[in-house]
Amino acid sequence: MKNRRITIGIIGIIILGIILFVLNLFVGSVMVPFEDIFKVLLKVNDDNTLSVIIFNYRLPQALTALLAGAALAVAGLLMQTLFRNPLADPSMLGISSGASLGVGIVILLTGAISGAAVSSFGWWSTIGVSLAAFIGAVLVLFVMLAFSSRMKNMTTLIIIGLMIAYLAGSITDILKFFSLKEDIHAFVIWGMGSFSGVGTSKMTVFAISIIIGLIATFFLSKNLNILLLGEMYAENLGLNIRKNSVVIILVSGYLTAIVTAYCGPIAFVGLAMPHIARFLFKSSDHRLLIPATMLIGMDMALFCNLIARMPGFDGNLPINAVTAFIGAPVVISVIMKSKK
Amino acid sequence: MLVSCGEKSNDTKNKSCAENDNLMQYTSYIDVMHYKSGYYVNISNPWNEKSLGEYYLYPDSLDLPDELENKSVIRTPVKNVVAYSSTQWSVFLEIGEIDRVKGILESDYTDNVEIKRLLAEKKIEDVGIETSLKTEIVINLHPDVILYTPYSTVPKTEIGELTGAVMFPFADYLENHPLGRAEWLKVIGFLTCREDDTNQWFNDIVSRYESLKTLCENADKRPTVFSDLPFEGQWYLPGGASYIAQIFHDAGADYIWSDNNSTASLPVDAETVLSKARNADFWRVMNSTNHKFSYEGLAVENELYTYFKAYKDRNILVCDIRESGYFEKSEYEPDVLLKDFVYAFHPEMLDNEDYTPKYFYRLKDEK
Repeated sequence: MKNRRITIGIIGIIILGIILFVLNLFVGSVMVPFEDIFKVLLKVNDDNTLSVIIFNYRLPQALTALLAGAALAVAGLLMQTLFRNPLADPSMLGISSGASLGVGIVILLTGAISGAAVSSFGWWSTIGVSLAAFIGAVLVLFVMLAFSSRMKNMTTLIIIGLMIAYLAGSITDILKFFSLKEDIHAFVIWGMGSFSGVGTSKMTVFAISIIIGLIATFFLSKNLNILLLGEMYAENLGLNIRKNSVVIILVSGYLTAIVTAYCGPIAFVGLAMPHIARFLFKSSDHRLLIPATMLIGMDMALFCNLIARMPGFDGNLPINAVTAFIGAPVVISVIMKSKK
Repeated sequence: MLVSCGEKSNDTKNKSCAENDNLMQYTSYIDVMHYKSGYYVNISNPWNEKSLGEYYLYPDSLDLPDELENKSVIRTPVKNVVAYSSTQWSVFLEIGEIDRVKGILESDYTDNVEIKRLLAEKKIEDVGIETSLKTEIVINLHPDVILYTPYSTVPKTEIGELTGAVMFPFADYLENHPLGRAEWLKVIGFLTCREDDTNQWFNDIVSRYESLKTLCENADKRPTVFSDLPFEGQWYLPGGASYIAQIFHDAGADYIWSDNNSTASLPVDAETVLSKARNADFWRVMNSTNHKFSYEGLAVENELYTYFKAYKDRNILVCDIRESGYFEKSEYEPDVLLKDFVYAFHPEMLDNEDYTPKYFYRLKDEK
């Protein structure tokens, strides 16, 4: 009975994902007339603007959403299991704050963008901002790894992670205070997150980096299951707690760093998706939870990307606003139902 | 009485008044009129109907009329000025009155050699940036006038009260006509009693601008143009009623978003820009970095760019903001700005083919 329920659930999520993916390709600010959809699909043609919009703009954006959603959701699951805390998410390690600080230093401190409207630094943002975010995230990740290899107590580690986040945040605030409004505006926009930054040119690198991280999580499922039994028990079973937590933090941090570097700090997906997975499948087995969380993360990111680019609206809504707006009610309803 | 002269309509610039003619022709947010031996200045608030401030400029050498006792009075020529923006101090510099400027903001962001020298010699103080003004240094400069940049948020009057200086809003950047923006240079003339020179300066700008504009009105074909680069998937396009849209129009081109009547920038999704502007002839881009743009570099940044006709035809017009001093200088050279675009859009109109653009140049192919 249970197996059937799981199979149906997984298939349902995959079908929903496919529908959302297709909708992502055909719905956006520019209307694609229904009869043109097949024309475009049958003949990929650079001279056709619709074809360029679908294949060169919407497709990479949908793929980015798909990969980023999966990565953040599973990174959140790892954190929640490791810290045995349902509120844990990738930002708990201070990684997003590290990325923000990196970007803050580049945008605000160097003033490389000073005096210009936001619109005018697209060129520079490509390499500079992603690289700065990645360096900031990885530096914090190494600090956390150094602490985690010395410490067994997970609560202490959470506190250290939060403190590092506050530290990075306060330096960012000081930078903001002394910056020009144009630069602050640019920084704020980066902080709202976007799935459109990857594009076709950087898709290969982004996709490979994320997929490597996603595959790595599958090898962790057994150890994660043992962790759920409690540290004492896990140690008795021969699990090296410190080594294990270093590996989990490394994988989760790596995924978060890559996504943040390319898409900005995207909140909420990492926190909320594991809860939905646990509720839907009534399971705590990571062999199931890991793929389920990834798939749900994909669906949610695709759905949010769709909402953000609603037709009839020329601009994009910031992804971060949409993820929380859509995600928060979902989590509340899931929790209410499961506690009944 | 006098205030009634300030009535205005934004589209027609003929602000007639029986007794006192407005001395400003092209501006929307400032009126200047003669008042006895001085001037009456009214600066309007772009965000609501209220006035942003009324000021009387009165020569220091004359006794102040009694009725002005309780008004905002600036005695001219001004002695100690704190200037928020480079568009203010650059006029002082140009007319040789820079010694009246004692403090400036955001001095790190200027490349002006003369200003850098004055800062090094401590003849001009850096007084911080707008969000964190070095209040004590400003007080110590004993300014009589602080030229500030008004924003939609309520301007800080605190610094005015602390220093006793008159806070004078310089709303130049809000003007949506290139000549309206340039005309603010005359305000510095009124403040320094150099109005004859600044009026002459401005009239020369107008005649050069208008003659270029007239040339382009007769153009056989008007190329289409769009603007800017996206950031995080969003294109911030200049509104159809903005400053740059007006220059495009006057340079004999059709701006793709000219139907839009906004003066502010519009956030537009990249795919909308692609579908509307794909076949535009020209693409105007601002470069705020210290690196030069190239077609290859742009393609690496975003592959979508390569589908635009302007990209394929190598018709991207770039302004290197820092190198050209765009924000400092272009405001008072709208005629030069216009000529750069005319040179790109209608080279046949300019007989001298070896014109070198000052701000916007056509990005050349490296290959």
